[in-house]
Amino acid sequence: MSSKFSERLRSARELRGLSQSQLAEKSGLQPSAISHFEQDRRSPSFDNLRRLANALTVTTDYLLGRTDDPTLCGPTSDTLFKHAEKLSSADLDMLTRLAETFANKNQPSQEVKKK
Amino acid sequence: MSKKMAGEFAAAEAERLIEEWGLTSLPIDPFEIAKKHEIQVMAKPPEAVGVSGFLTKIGDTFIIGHASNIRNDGFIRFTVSHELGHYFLPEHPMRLFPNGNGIHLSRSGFISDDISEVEADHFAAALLMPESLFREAMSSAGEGFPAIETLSRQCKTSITATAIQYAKFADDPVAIIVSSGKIVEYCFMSGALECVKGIEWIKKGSLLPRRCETVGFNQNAENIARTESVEAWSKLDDWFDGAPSLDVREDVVGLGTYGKTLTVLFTDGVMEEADGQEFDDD
Repeated sequence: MSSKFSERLRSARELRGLSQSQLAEKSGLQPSAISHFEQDRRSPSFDNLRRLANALTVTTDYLLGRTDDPTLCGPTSDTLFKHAEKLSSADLDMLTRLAETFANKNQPSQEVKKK
Repeated sequence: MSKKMAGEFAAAEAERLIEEWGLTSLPIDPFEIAKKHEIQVMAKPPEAVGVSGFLTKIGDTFIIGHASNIRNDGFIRFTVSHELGHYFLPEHPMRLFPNGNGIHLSRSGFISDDISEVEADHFAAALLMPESLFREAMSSAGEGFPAIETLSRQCKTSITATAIQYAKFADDPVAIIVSSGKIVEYCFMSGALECVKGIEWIKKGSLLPRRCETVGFNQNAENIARTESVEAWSKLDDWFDGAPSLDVREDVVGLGTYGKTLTVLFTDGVMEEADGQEFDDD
């Protein structure tokens, strides 16, 4: 997973014709952080991923290697639970509804991007 | 990385972000932080019990959900801050979703062994009670349990989370014990108490001392449900094996819907007495 991210980050940056410094400036991250990510020495936070994805006009799922299309999101939602031992069916229902809502909301815009 | 190191790393990261964002006064508002970073925060209906919080990534949209059945603003703010920890801490995307998709289940709380959950808890505590601002507030908050109550109001944090942070930075001997029935769930000691020669930690799962106010308090569930509180005195060596026999203030408070009890042991004289005993023994 991590090496996939490193590869994707480097290739997306080169595709956009940006140097590491330019990407750092555009994403609000330190140039050294970009270098560490590309060399697989450090692993990003979700906030880092989002900044990088925005700066490179790709999705976080593309950077994570979950989809091969830079403009598309992966097919699933990811959820981290606190106190998972208390996970109820009501929680699962709510999350399923959330995912469906956002999937429907995102679908047209993704299709537009594909065009 | 050990749990202790992971916790210190996460707290340092929260402190770094507080500085980067230019937040210089208490209380810190996790809802505002989420809003600024375009993270949606939603409350579960009060009747929906289940998980206390979650972070969901749907495409490039991030959503924090929190329970509202526990009627405690501090608990909710801590839960949201915990989830912000998962969002802002490095390595969490790779650690939490190692298979690239699906739902990741994890346990949490200070008693968790899951390193990511430990990190998120320490991040939350440091985000809501950053060391520099908290120490500054401590300097004018008094001491012992009344100080913890004052700081809890200032930081808008739960009495338990505030007490733990208080013990972390207190110069005086302080112990924070969370119990349920006759059992100790966990215990935090201030550095000054840890330094008392021969003192032993109260282990998770051990029995409360027979001679203490907390045991009697816990026998009546109404005390906990109604968030009753009691001020008492007990002996330090009743609580800690190897400790000198000194009177300590024992403040006990029921934690309401959380269903547990918080005990704060405090004295400003243990170190001197302990040193004195050590001298006498020699």
